[in-house]
Amino acid sequence: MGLRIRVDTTICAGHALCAAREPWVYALDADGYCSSDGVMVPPGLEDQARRGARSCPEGAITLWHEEESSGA
Amino acid sequence: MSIPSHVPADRVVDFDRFSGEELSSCPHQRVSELFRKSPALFYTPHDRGHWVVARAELARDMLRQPDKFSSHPRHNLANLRKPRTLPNQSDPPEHTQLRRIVNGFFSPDGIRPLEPEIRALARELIEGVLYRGGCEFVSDIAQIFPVVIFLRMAGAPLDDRPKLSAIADRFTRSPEVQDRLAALEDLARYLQVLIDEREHEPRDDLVSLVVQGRVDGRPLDAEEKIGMVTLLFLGGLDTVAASLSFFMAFLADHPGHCRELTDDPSLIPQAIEELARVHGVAGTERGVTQDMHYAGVDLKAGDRLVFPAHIYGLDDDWVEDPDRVDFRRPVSTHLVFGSGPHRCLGSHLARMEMRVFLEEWLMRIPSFCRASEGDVLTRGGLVWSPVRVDLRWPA
Repeated sequence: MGLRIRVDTTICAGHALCAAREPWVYALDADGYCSSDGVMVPPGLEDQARRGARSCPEGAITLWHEEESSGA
Repeated sequence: MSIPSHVPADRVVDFDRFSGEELSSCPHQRVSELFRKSPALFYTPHDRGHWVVARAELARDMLRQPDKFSSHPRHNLANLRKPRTLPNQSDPPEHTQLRRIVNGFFSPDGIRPLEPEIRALARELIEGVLYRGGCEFVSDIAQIFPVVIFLRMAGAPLDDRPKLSAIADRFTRSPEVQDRLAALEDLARYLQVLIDEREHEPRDDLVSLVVQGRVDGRPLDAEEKIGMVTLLFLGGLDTVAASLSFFMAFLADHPGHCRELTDDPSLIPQAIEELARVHGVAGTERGVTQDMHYAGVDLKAGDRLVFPAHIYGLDDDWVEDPDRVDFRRPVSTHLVFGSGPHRCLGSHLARMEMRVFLEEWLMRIPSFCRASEGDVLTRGGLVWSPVRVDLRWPA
């Protein structure tokens, strides 16, 4: 089970508060916009992921519980 | 001053963003109080008549719809200026392409190499006043610090600072629109000289970056170059000066808050967000692109919308207990850097400048107070600012 980050890149405005607040969870591209869309939150960093999502003034970040696919 | 026929009487509020009484002291508290009692979208007959978006969520929704609420002066004739400043006075897709030229330079990674120089400048300015035991912060420090940084980034001569600061002040603060337009033309004349020099001999600076920029696979034309460089100058000139001045006045008046930062300097970044939340300095405008019914009112094509982003962080529909300044809030939600595609390009640089300045100041002057009694007098206009902030400390 894990938490997946979804970033609505049409409303990400590059405030970069997600990465400033929680650099272990959120990354930026070369222009300073969030590049974490689709990334799984590293285990143990769920609270940080939530704090980073809340720091986005545009509301561009949501977090989704997912069952991780099991390997063979 | 008349009200257009499509504006209902119950949507009219007497708000003068340049010379209103609310702007003369404690503007954030007084304007947010006015806005809490006003409709979310109201009309004022001042400054040639315009709508005001008085709530944060409504502002955020509108600022992400450039097709309805345009930044191009063709939809907002009151904002027609020469040169058309860019990319702020453009909409996507033109805006997107122009912004792409400078996004990397101003990204958090892009500006990081400037930190040592910014810190050295902060030190120099602080040490210049340290042994005097006092200063007038606005003129001694705030008006110099961000301007010098900007002049250095742009490769412009530092001797030009007083002249440029005076022009910027006229552009943002003069209540006479003709004076504001004339100030802009003076600035453009000055900047054209820099542009011509860098065309001839490019360097590794911000003006050269713009001059060599391309859109649609072609070089920028003359109007695009002067438009971009003009905006880059205006953006950096008095917004950070005003913000820092408000922050210093606050810390001087709230020793408990100041002590939190000297006890734990790692709080400074979040303190800056919280201080910014309650001391925004700039807003924005849009023009309505077509007749429409929106948020309960009839809007006509060409209607002006003013977004006082200065105080969305004080919206009690959006922030819990907004008047309480608490550096340990989980999130200091605000829109002082705007919202949507036009989010302030300089926001990361502004934060860095403010963080570095406070770090250096508090290291040397951990305890200080205001040298004058009563509320700090402030000025309204496009950029709100304290008029003066007299500080003193044990020397």
